[in-house]
Amino acid sequence: MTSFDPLPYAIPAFVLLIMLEIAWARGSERRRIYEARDTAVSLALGVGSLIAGAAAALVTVPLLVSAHALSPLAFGWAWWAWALCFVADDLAYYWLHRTGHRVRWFWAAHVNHHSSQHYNLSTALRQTWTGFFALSFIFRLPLAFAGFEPGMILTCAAFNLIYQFWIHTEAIRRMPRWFEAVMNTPSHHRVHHATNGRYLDRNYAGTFIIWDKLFGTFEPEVDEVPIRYGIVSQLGSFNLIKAAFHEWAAIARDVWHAPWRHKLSYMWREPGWSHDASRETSEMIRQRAVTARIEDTPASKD
Amino acid sequence: MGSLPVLVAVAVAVLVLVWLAKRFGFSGDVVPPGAAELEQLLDGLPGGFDCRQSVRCQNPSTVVAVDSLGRVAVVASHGAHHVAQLLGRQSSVTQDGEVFTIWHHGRCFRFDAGAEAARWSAILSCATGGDT
Repeated sequence: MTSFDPLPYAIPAFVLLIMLEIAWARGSERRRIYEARDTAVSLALGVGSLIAGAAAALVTVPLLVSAHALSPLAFGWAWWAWALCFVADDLAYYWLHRTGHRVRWFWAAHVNHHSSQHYNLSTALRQTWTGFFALSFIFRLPLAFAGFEPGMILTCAAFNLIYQFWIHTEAIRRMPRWFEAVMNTPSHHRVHHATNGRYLDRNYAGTFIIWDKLFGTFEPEVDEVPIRYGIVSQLGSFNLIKAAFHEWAAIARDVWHAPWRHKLSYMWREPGWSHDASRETSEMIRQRAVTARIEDTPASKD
Repeated sequence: MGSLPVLVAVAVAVLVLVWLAKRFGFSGDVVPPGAAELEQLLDGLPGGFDCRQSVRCQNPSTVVAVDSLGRVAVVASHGAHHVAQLLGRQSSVTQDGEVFTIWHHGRCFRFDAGAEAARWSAILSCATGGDT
């Protein structure tokens, strides 16, 4: 299978840009952007995900090849196939990412990307170790069935991941309007990493923000609302193993203690769901935030 | 490009970056949470948090608060930020006179309740499902 992995070539640029952001964040007002222990955890998760990804490729690549062999179509390596594949892969990524937030099984694999209370370029490298275990690769199989070359899919997926590196920063407030309208940007992605009620589970896009606008999950950043980063129940730990596996452990605990008829729901329902309504889902928190906003308006206080 | 050299280079880069972050002093300059930040953190807890009383711990960046439902939350530093977490059955409390020590997720928070010790004893006992 022909394939090109651009990720190793991007790593020096990642390192250089993180160095520049660290230097930029030295100013007193920006000192809370970085935290050495948090950065260490994020980067260690990044290294671990490289290893996990290489191991998972032993299975995912043959699966993609098999899926492609079953396809009645074969687009080949034409330039337009590359462009089409990149857009199709970004759409697949949108649904993978959205499912990663809406189904607890997939959330367990993705949560470590969100568990930092900091938002900087090192957060971008805070990638999963358990994506393969969660079966996240199934979202890209339809692309191979559709006729795209497996090597092309993997290369496009890698470029998609590289694109998302630079949007994990507070150093850039807004890009030009035309760019903000079409592309995922630091502003859009800050919203995605926020735990503020109004921002929860919004802006799932990878490269093109148009998917969120199309599927009703877009939320613009409001400058007056300071963003709180992290997850709803903050991890509160710099333990690497905890960061990588805490949600899996929580699922195991919940499944163990749940009544039989609810056990599966603790894996397949949305994060925060509970059979006795003792917890809150992101929808509930959003609703509470919206209600609070309405009550805060001067008209409703009269 | 071989996998091993890439991994080694990445590992070295990680060490350099972490050293740089430490060198520049990004090691958690803890600032005690202000009233607005405290309110935001507590409001973000599941079900919200209608704070009725709060007490600052001996470590001034830590606050213990109780809401109208009798739930108890600790707001503690986490690096340069703070986290709010609800006490539960996994938490434990010991009382020495008017001083309470809360153990939660491997961390300990100590505060002097003064004249309100009896009241805090009942609140914490209820919140952790045990005796103080």
